[in-house]
Amino acid sequence: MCPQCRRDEEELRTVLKGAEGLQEDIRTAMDKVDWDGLAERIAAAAFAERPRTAVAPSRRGGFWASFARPKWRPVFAGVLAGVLVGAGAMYVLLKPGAFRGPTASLRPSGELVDMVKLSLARREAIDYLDKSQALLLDFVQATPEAAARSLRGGDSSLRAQNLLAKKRYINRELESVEMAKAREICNLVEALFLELAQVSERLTPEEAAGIQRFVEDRNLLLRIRLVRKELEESEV
Amino acid sequence: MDTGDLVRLTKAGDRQAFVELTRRYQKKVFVLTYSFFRNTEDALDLVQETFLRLYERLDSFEEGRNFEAWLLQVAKNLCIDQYRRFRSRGRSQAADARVEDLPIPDERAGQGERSTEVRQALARCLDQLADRQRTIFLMRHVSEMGNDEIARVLNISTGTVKSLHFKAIRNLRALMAPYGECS
Repeated sequence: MCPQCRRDEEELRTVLKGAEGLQEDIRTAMDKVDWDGLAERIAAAAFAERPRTAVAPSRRGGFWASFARPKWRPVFAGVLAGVLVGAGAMYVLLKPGAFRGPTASLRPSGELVDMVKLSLARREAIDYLDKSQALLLDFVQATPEAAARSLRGGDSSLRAQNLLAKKRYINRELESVEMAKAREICNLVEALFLELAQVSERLTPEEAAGIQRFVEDRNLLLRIRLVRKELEESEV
Repeated sequence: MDTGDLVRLTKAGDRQAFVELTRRYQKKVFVLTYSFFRNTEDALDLVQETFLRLYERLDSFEEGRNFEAWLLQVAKNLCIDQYRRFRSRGRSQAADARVEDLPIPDERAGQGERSTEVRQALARCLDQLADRQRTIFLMRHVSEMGNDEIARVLNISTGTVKSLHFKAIRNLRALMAPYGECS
């Protein structure tokens, strides 16, 4: 046996030896107790405190009496809790004013609908302006030759046509008074894209340079940025 | 007469049945209470208290239940309550002493003295165990109850009894190691 196992065994033996010692103590103590006398004393004390009277089982009411047994207590507690919770729920639902009906509370007001519409219009206008700004930047920052080439090549032309389609889609949303500024700049950009789409196939570098000047002279990019910012801050 | 009959008669007010019931189980309760307090007077007080409590609550005892397990459960609860009271009152100040502080056993001591020392050491180490570990150790090794019986009394699974018993042994071995080294 290894030293560790021997130590473990020794420790265990010490513990069990202690337990055996306790058993010896108990046996010694038990020998000194008058057990018959103890039982009598306990019974005397018990019956002196509360004499137990025989309870004859009652036939009448026996069925109902069975529900008074402790094992039914959880059931009664559950039923009581259910009644209380149900009563609370009914009170909340049926108290005056609590039940106005679905139409009154759920029908959106005209004002709310207008706000939602306006919010959607703003979002669409911002998206349109973002894409327009990107296309114009690509066009303005390129050399006239490269700008003309990009339109002839189809990529910028396609983007312009997509933006024209989108503009038609958002035209109705730009009709409100709050969107007047956005409508103005969007119409200007639309006119430019229309021009680009029409001349793209035969656009010369000189014509491209002319369009670049038009964008710069009208401060188109700056105006787009300003309107976009206003739209974001909902101040249009 | 079996235990069920004695319980029924006691419920009906038969004093002699209660005396018989007490006679039948008082020693078993005493073993448990003595193992907790290692003092005859306290153990007998607890035996009396257990049977009085049993008598008071006999109406709530349902037929078909294990009477002995129920009785020992009452005894165990009273023991733990009393044990905590004793500890908080400082009555068992000696129990708080660490094993290392105990007098080193004299190697020249006779077998009887040595046994007493081991017993005292175990008693002090038991005081340092958690309630359930101590109870299970005492039930297994002093009351000589089986795992299933302990599980019924403590209202826990047999697996938990085994696990707690293992922990109790492990902790007692560790606590008594300094003492064992001297032997």
